[in-house]
Amino acid sequence: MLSFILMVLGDSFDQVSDETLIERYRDGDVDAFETLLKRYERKLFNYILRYVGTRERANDLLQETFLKVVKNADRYDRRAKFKTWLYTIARNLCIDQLRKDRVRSGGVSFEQSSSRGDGGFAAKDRIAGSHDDGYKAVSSSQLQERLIAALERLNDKQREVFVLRHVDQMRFREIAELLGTSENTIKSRMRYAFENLRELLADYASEQ
Amino acid sequence: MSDSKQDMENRLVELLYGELKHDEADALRQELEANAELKETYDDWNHVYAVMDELPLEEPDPAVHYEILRVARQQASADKGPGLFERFFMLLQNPAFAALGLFIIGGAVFSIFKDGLQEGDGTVLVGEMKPSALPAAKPSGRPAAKSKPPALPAAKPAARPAGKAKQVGAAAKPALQTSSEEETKARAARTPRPSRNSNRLARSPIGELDAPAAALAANAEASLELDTAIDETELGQERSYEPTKSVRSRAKKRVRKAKKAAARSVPAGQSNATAPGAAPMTGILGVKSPKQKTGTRKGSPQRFAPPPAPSASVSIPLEDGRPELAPSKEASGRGNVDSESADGLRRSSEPSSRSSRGPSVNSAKGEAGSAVLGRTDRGRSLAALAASGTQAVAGGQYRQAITIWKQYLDDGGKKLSSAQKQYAYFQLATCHHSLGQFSAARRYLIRLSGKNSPYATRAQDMLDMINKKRRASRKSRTPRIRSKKGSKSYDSKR
Repeated sequence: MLSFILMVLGDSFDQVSDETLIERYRDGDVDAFETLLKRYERKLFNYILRYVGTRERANDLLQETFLKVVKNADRYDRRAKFKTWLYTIARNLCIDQLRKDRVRSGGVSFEQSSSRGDGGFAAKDRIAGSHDDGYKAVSSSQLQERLIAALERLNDKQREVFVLRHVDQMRFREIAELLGTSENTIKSRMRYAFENLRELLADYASEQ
Repeated sequence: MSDSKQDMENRLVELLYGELKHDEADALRQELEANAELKETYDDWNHVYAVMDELPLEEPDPAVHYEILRVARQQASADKGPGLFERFFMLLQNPAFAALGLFIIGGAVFSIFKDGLQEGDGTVLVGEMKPSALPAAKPSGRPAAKSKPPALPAAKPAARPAGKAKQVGAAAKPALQTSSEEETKARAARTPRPSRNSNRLARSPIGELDAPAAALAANAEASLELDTAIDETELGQERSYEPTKSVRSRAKKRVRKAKKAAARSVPAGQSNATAPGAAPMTGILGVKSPKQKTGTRKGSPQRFAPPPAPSASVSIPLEDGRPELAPSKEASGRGNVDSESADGLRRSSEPSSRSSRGPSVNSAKGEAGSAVLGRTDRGRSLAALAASGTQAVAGGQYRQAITIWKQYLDDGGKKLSSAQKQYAYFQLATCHHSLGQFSAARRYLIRLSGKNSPYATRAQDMLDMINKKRRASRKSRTPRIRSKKGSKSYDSKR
């Protein structure tokens, strides 16, 4: 009924909740899905990009994520938040992708190969160094490159929380729900991320 | 770092992102003014926050956007339910609705004929009947050509006073019987009285089935194959199996009539007896040994050649000298139906109705088999087998049903139509499935699942169920071992 009124009034989907939109798509309204896609594709792409490191893979995983949403729309339970559901799908795909990479690279664990053990920094040389074909080239300014490099050097968990909060603007409670951990843990990770970024960007601050 | 400092810094993070309530934020700001170290941390983080705002937001490939939309549109159109028209046709495919439709059409046809009779001169119709048939000649609305055999109602009282049994074959064609009433009574006395215990199928021949069984038999026969019409005048030659609508509709009518007759069949007190002119009963399971089956096939000189009249059976030559098949067929396992239901079930051998109503393909098959099998001609046996198999399944006697249906398939061979085979396969699959013999059931279901048959959906369902069980049993045999590393629990203690 609500959707009908909105349709009659010619209202856009901007004010409609994600949950209503996915239900409308379930009823065959492709425009509702397009709204959802527009609403999340950019944020989700950046989240995936920071996770897997390359544009090509990020594009593939973004497509795969939304295709899963399309195929499983019938199974979506309105009691769960659509945003959490969407990011959970994306995150699982990212983890699977990283696991495949790890197997291909000879079975060395990602954490083992990337961790420097210097107080929570994770050198993302393997990802950022060898697969930085995409988004670094796009980044024009030196500052942006440095920010990306600093972000890549964060611990996986810290980077994930930072991206979700700072880039995707999810609330701490939502992040905790998505990652299946407590809100305090998320805040702690964020705190460590800030500390590490401050150290990584200290020389930049002094240059300024 | 003390707990209080951690808490304080956690709150600083919240303050940075504006997740604190207004009063909480004010309180924290006041505290920051008092705590220089905390203030310095906050300023540093604020600077990082501002710098990280410069982090570029990347755009995904536009092709991905359109590809996702394309798939979403496809999925949405695929998920849409069938239209009104499609739903109507789906409804028609439902056997219940199809039966209802047939019933309505049949009723309409009946009422039309009835009206026609009432309006027309009824004396013509009555005049064609024998006087003995007049009392039983109800205004059924049938045209004269399709009316009951004249002597049929007259034979009915002869069968019932015997107090023993009602024989399908007995009442079928009394007009054609040459044996006298005494001979008939003597034959009736020789006929073993059928047992009425629950294990009737195991011991008794199909001919001893009671009236509901006969209705069931007729139903099974109709559902199996009634789309083949054979012109009886072409006996002894290769026959054309051209399906005709009239045959179907007549078959349906016969089934309905048989059911009605079964409903008002003989009272419980009356037992079976051999009716005049009836041949002795022959069991389905007992008569056909594998040896006989082999001999039948090899021995049949011509596929559809009329069999030589077995000595034991009542064979009445037709006017043109051909042997009459109907009496032996009438003695088949259609059950102990009273004459009225027998009329509904049998294939009439009267010359008048022969041209318009040919026997089923089963009777043609029976001709070849009867040369070796004697009284139990094959056509009769196939129908009887189908009936008894159906009843055995309905009665939960699955092992017996399996034997019957396998025999049915063996006997039928290539003569069976695909519908007949599919029905038999489905029955066999049901039996095996019920007995927990899933591999055997699966073999039959696989034959059905891919075909465009009325059993395809049910077969596929059963197949899915069996496959699921197989997978489950496989899983239970080889437990899946997952390493702890491989789990998706991404979080661990920092």
